[in-house]
Amino acid sequence: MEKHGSETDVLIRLEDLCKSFDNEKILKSVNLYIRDKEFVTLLGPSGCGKTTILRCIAGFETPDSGDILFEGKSVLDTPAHERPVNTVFQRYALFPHLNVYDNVAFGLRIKKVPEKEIRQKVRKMLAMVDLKGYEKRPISKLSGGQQQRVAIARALVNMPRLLLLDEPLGALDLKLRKDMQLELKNLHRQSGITFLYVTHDQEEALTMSDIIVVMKSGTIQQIGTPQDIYNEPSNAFVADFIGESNIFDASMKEDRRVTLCGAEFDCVDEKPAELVDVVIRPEDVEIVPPSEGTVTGYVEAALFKGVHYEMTVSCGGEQWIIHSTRQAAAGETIGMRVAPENIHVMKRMFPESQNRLEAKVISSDEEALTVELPLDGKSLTLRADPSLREGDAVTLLVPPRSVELCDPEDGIFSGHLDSVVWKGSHYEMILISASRRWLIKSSMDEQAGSEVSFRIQPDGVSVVKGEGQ
Amino acid sequence: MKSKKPLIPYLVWMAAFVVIPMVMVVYYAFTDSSGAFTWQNFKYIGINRQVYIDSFQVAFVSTAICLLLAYPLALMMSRMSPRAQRMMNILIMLPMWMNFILRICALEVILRPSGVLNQLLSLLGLGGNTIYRTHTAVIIGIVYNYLPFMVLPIYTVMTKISKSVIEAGQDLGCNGWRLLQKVIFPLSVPGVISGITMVFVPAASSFVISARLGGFNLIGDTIEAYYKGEIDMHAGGMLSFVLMVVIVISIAVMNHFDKDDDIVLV
Repeated sequence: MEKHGSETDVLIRLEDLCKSFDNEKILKSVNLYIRDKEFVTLLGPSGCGKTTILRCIAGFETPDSGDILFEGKSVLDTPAHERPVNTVFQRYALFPHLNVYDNVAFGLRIKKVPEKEIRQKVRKMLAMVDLKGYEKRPISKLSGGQQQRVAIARALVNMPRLLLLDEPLGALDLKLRKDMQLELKNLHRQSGITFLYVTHDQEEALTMSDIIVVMKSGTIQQIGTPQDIYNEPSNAFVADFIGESNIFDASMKEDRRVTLCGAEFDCVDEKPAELVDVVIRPEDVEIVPPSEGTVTGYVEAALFKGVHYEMTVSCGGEQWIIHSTRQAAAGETIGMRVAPENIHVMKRMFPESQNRLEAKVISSDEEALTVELPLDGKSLTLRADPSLREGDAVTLLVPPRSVELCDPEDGIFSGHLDSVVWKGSHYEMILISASRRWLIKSSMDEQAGSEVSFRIQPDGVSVVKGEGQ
Repeated sequence: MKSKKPLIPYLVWMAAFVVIPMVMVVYYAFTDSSGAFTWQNFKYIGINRQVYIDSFQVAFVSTAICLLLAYPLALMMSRMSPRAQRMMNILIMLPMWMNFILRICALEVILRPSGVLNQLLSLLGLGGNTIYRTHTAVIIGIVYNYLPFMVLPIYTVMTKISKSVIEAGQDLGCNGWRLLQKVIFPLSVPGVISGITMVFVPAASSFVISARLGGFNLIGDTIEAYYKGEIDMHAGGMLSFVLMVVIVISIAVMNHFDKDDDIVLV
């Protein structure tokens, strides 16, 4: 697992944290540490396990295995009410029977702090979240933004070592969110408390965090500063999730030379494998006269976006998104150039170009070849192959385009979409079915995390005799 | 829909079966047999003083016992799995599907000196119970009958307390007892109030239970007696009127504790 910075001042450390609900693995061996006074954000799509991590730290969930160390000591046996953390809940969870003052004073009263001291602290905290004069208001008479600030004040007034924030701005409108982001950042600075923040909004994460932890289906994809994550995404999922980007299938024959869209580009990376993914941020593409470009493209559309123009350019069957202050009109042919340091080469999430399946021939005649797949014993009928007979072991090579998503009633197999990334001309999906990973290329857009049905189109499948290769 | 027409049948119903009977009760309470206005009927309160005292004492104790039994049960129920909750709901409702009189007679068979309880006790070599024909027997009967009316409103309110509010309490340092005291109980007060109202009122005016198990009259039995046999509508009217006034006052006092009507249980 990737580490960040030095390991001094570690406040909390998660070791091999695993958690399942109803046999579904929500956290798959999560390792993470958070240093004192840092603002750390867990970022990922819904269902990636980020809230579960927070709930494990708060003590509302018990991990199946692994450990949570607070300043080196395990807190797994410490009940929620004794842990040195406080939480700002997603839906605020304010006490409806108490007014603003009593809500904020709640934690201090439980700790039996003298009433005089409580008054001072609550006053100061309410001033900090801009709710002076609201002490006597009942919770039901507050707006969403005000309730949110009460929730933050109620947690922060206890001066916990670690403040957990579970999508605290999720229910607010855009304008209020932006204001609250700045306010939270200020509160973090003023209070000197460590913040662990959960969100699915990448912009929020980039704006506020010292460290971002990108998650997908219960595993950490990347840990780094906002700049690291944005500029050097570790894989296509992170690149896609963290902002608008051009992600392409590419190949490398040698170090620092990468082939994509039919042209060779200089880059600064060493070759990690033959097949790679490349990410180019839209603002990193230079528009030049066609003769000077590494590749040329045809401008399909150009939109004015305020600060910049957004152009959609087709080039060698792939679509490029370009952000530039220079406008290229729709219909124009332009040259495109990318500085070597702006081409980010990443390892592929699915290392092979085809799906490889070991199967067994059940029947073979002049008409057709039927094989049994290692998927719940389901079978597939293919083009006849006279060289094969019953009982032979074969390897099927299924191209990504031969795996088709379809309606549940037409589907033979079903699985779970682990990631969906737009790659210039198609969506690249990674699907998990019967603990096997499938690579799919499709023009259909599907939500990552959804359950889908699929079938195998026999035409594109090639059959090789023998197991493996 | 702004039209008030759909309300008409209900208004007629309320007039016929609520307003008119109440007016009649008040009318009889303050008139004599010739129909003239009189304060004389207040003497029946004095005559039946002990019955009133017994009634409210029995009702008060029964309600308190119901609350003590029902609150922990409702709390446990609200934390069970949905399946277990449905099961418990049925178990609590089940006795109410049986006829009320039948249940009281069954209790009588258990409690009376030659009853099932004493037979069991004597088999074990223990002395016979002396509960039968005491206040205790009546209280047992009332608690047995009205317990569901205490459990269900409290349980309903508790299921509406959101899980995250409970977690917020734990997060802010509440152990189990503190959580009950500072979060769960304050939020369940509306259920407790309606439970108390639903038990206290019928318990105070109950009849049959006292006659059967206690062998003495509570206010309900006394009122019944004035309308049976030697009919005295005026005495019965006055006793009913006073009972009504006392109950209205006690409900008003109860609701005063439940002043935060706008509590939203999110």
